[in-house]
Amino acid sequence: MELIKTLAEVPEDELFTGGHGGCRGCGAALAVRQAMKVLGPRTIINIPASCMATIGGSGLTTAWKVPFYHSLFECAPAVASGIRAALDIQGIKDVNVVSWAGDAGTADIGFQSLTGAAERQENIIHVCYDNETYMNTGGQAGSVTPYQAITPDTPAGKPTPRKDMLAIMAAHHPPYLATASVAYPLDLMQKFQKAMAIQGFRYIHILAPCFRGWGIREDQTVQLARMAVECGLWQLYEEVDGRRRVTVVPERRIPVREYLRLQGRFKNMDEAAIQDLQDEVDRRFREVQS
Amino acid sequence: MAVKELPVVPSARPGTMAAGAAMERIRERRPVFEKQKCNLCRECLFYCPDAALAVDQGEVRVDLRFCKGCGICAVECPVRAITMVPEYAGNRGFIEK
Ligand SMILES: Cc1ncc(C[n+]2csc(CCOP(=O)(O)OP(=O)(O)O)c2C)c(N)n1
Ligand code: SF4
Ligand code: SF4
Ligand code: SF4
Ligand SMILES: [Mg+2]
Repeated sequence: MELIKTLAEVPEDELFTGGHGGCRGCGAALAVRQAMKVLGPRTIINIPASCMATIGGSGLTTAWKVPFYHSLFECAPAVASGIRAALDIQGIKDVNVVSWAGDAGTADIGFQSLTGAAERQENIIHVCYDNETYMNTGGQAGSVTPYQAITPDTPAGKPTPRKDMLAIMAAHHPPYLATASVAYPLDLMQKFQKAMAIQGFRYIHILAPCFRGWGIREDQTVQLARMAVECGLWQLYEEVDGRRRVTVVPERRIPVREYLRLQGRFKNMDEAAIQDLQDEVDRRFREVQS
Repeated sequence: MAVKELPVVPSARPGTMAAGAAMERIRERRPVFEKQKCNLCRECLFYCPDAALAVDQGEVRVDLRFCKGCGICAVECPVRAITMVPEYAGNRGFIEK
């Protein structure tokens, strides 16, 4: 397999077209656009209740140019497993079957079907596009919402830390697991290429900021996604059969304070809490990078 | 009989939202490009959430049916070749076509 090395090599086709119903500067739509460039036309995509399930249209008009199925919230990986079984029985092999869910559809409400599909080693790719809240219903807090983030139902800041979904998914020992970011499209697309070349259950977790939930300007979506990597909170790596490889070493390291202070949702976070987070990030950064 | 072609979304025709796009209804700003500065690195194309940018005949062009005016391209362009300009001009707020 030839990995894409430059942006000029990427196919021009848009399989998730313009004209979709996402907000201005939507990180979720951006993640889909980047991934569809490499997933290509032989892809069936299944998205449960979320922003991404709705902004691509209804039954009457659609931004998708591949078969797209809007499943119930709890069951995207189960539906994807069924789609794979239906293809197998027809002898169709060259199709990517993808369940693509938000952080709630992955880590909370959709989690039982996700862990089931991972344990059964279903031949699907599960993608979590993570905006760290339940945006489609107004930005409520979920299990991957960060510590101290203000949301409509944690008005004083979330009292508990973010759950470590990557560790949970790694515990299923998938043949391929990766983190990605909309600020690093080449890295993201290469990870989809690698996942596509592997059989079995594959998991890709993309940090895809949402300006509404994060309290940033709509033109800062990519900037904040990049700063999450630069401050070390979101490290970019992949694990093939459990062997970790860091794929992006940030060109500059910034303090987490710089990243947090740009976001309205962290305005209650005091210096002591920021320092605690900095220590935790430094520890985790050394652990992953070594 | 073997199924040769995958069924496409049965109800909506593929990509129909692109055909009906009219983002001038919501756009407040639009990107303007300085051709002399642009080095055709294509980064802006991959940061646009709305598939509004393309390289056409050696320059970056914006498709104003799709562009929502978010300004990400202008923030991300490494050589600052993109400026966002207000969409509504004049005291009566006409949309400039
Ligand atoms: C079983 C069930 N519970 C609740 C809902 C309402 N609901 C729809 S989308 C959503 C939040 C989705 O959050 P996430 O998966 O993170 O995607 P996002 O909207 O943030 O992109 C909720 C609670 C639902 N559709 N079904
Ligand atoms: S609320 Fe956020 S994730 Fe949802 S469409 Fe708007 S920008 Fe995208
Ligand atoms: S990011 Fe800037 S320099 Fe690069 S192609 Fe776009 S306009 Fe040109
Ligand atoms: S302003 Fe936003 S929508 Fe318009 S071309 Fe730039 S990135 Fe795309
Ligand atoms: Mg979410």
